[in-house]
This record gives sequence, C-alpha cells and structure tokens, in this order.
Amino acid sequence: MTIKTAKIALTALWGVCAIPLLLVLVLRQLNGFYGDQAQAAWSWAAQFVFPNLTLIGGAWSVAGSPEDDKPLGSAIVFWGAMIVSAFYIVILYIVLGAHASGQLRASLEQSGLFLGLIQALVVGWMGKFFIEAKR
Amino acid sequence: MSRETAPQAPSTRPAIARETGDRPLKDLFPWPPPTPSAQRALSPDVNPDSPPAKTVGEVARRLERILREARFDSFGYYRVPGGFALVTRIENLDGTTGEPFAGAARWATQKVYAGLSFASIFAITRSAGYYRVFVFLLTDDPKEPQPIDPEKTFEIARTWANEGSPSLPAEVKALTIGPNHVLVVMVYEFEKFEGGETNHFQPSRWPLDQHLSSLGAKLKPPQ
Repeated sequence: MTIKTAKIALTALWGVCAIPLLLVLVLRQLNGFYGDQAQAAWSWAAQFVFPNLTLIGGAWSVAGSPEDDKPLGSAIVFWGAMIVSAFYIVILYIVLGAHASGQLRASLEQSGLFLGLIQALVVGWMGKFFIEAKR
Repeated sequence: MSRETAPQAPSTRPAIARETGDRPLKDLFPWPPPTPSAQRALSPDVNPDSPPAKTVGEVARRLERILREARFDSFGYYRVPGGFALVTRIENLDGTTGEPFAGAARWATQKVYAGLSFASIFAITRSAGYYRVFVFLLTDDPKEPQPIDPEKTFEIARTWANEGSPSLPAEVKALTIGPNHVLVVMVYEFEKFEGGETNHFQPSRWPLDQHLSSLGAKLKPPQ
C-alpha cells in the first residue's frame, strides 16, 4: 500500500462517516430537535468532530509530494489511526443516539468527559500518521 | 421550585388569612388561577347521589375519595377565597390516547430513557412528553383565569401537589357552603420537549369528558 492510498483510506473513513453525522445534526436543527440546546449541540460537533476533519483537510491542503507514491513505511501507525478513528466514530454515533434516547442536556455534557480523552488519542495517532507520511 | 416563582396576588392574602384563621394552608393558590386547558363548573355536592354538602370539609372528603379511587398517590391543598384548591400530582399521559400511563410511568415528569437503538441514532425529530394536572377549586369568589407563561405554568404544575398541604385544617373544613360557592374542575395539559419548548394546551388537546372519565366517578353538574 502506498502512502497516498493510505491517506485516501483514512480520509474516506472520516468523510463517509462524518457526512451522515453532520447531516443528522443539520436535520435535527431544522426540525427543532435540540430546542434551546441547539448551541450546545453544535458546540459538541465543533469540539468533537471538526478538529479531526480539519486535521485531514490540513494534511491534504499541503501539496502532494513524490513520497506519496512510496510504500507505506509503518503499517502499524496507519492501521492504528484507522482503528482508533473507527472506534471514535462509533462512539460519536452512540452519543448521537443518546441525544435522542435520554436526557439531552446530560448526554451533551457528559459525553465530553470521555470523548475528549478518546479524541486526544485519535488526533495523536492521526497526526503521527500524517507526519510519518511526510518523512 | 421555590414558592416565589408562583404567580400570586399579595392583595388577596389578608382576606384569605382572615377566613382561614391565618395559619391553615401552606400557601396561596395562584389567584386568579392560571388559564387551564379545560374547565367546568360542578356542584359542590360533587357526586350526583350524595346529599348536599354542608361544609368545605365535606366537599374535600368527597373529592379525596374520588382521587384515591383513581389511584392518585398524592395531592395538595392550597388556600383560595372561601375554600380550597385541590391539586393532583402531575400525570404522564400517552400522547396517542391521552390516557395516563400505567404504573410508575404515570408519575414520570421527564422522558424515560428509551435505550439506544439504530433508529435513535438517526432520529431527526424528538418525541414529547404529555402531562396533566387536575385542580378542583372550591370558592365563593370565582375569578376569571389569567394566562401565564407555559414554561412557568409547567414548572409550577410539576411540584404543585407536593408543595400543597396534604389535608385541610379544621377551620377551613368547618366553613359552611353558601349559595355563592362554586366547584370548578380545571385540567392543565402540557406538551414538554426534553431540553426544548413547553406547550400548555389551550384549549385542551383531549376532551374534558375523557379526562373526567379517567377519574372513574360521576360528577354532579351545578344546580
């Protein structure tokens, strides 16, 4: 697997999974689902979804280099980034479901306690992957 | 909820205090009462088959019997001019039928955790909780209800029964029923979205007769 293919795979994972999540948030907002908690809901998305998308966007915004066509140096870093990303995305969807199933305010506030920790792991692993890809 | 949030008319306090001996019930009922979703005047005799009620205490006892048979586990009394307001604990209604839920779900004032499901993840609309409170108002000085903010009314209604007095004091019970006394049943219906808006149905979403039939008792119309 080349570096470029690995970057596309990681980007595709996030793109395919984040778009429906954001679409659900937009539709909920338009339907008044969040009521007076709309700001909290979007702060939740801004805090726990967008930083990862921004990191991927930032990595792609850098002009492609000849190294992109080289074989992947560390498969562990790539697969680690994929696995922690997939795990994190599953958690995001579970929290999205909890918004609808239980106490909205509580699920928005309390999810921050564990999402922040997992997100740090994800961003760290993704950052390592993109930095390794540039070496 | 603190009592300070309940809309009250301080000017009515001295008059009521004189009538009830200045000590009896915990607090004044909001006066004039908040606009209900539905209301109906009844005879102070309460039941069609009962003899005429002579005292306020008799009316209260008949109403309490109806509420106990309808399995209300708590209710509260408040002072009103010449009588009392008997408020039932807020009930959680089935949004489709308008009937109260069975068992403990009847008394839930927040949406019960529905559990995670695939549908809940992609749900884009939020279901509401529906609630009801009965107020039986016995007074010799009926006032026209006045509208207040739905959110505030709901917050009052949530703890209304618990914050009222559990029984009538002797001096209020002893008040005689006069020709000016009227018994009014008021129903307050609410739709509450968790973390969202509260709607106070005006007029009621479900017919008053349906609410009254859920009490399981026949009530006597005014003479």
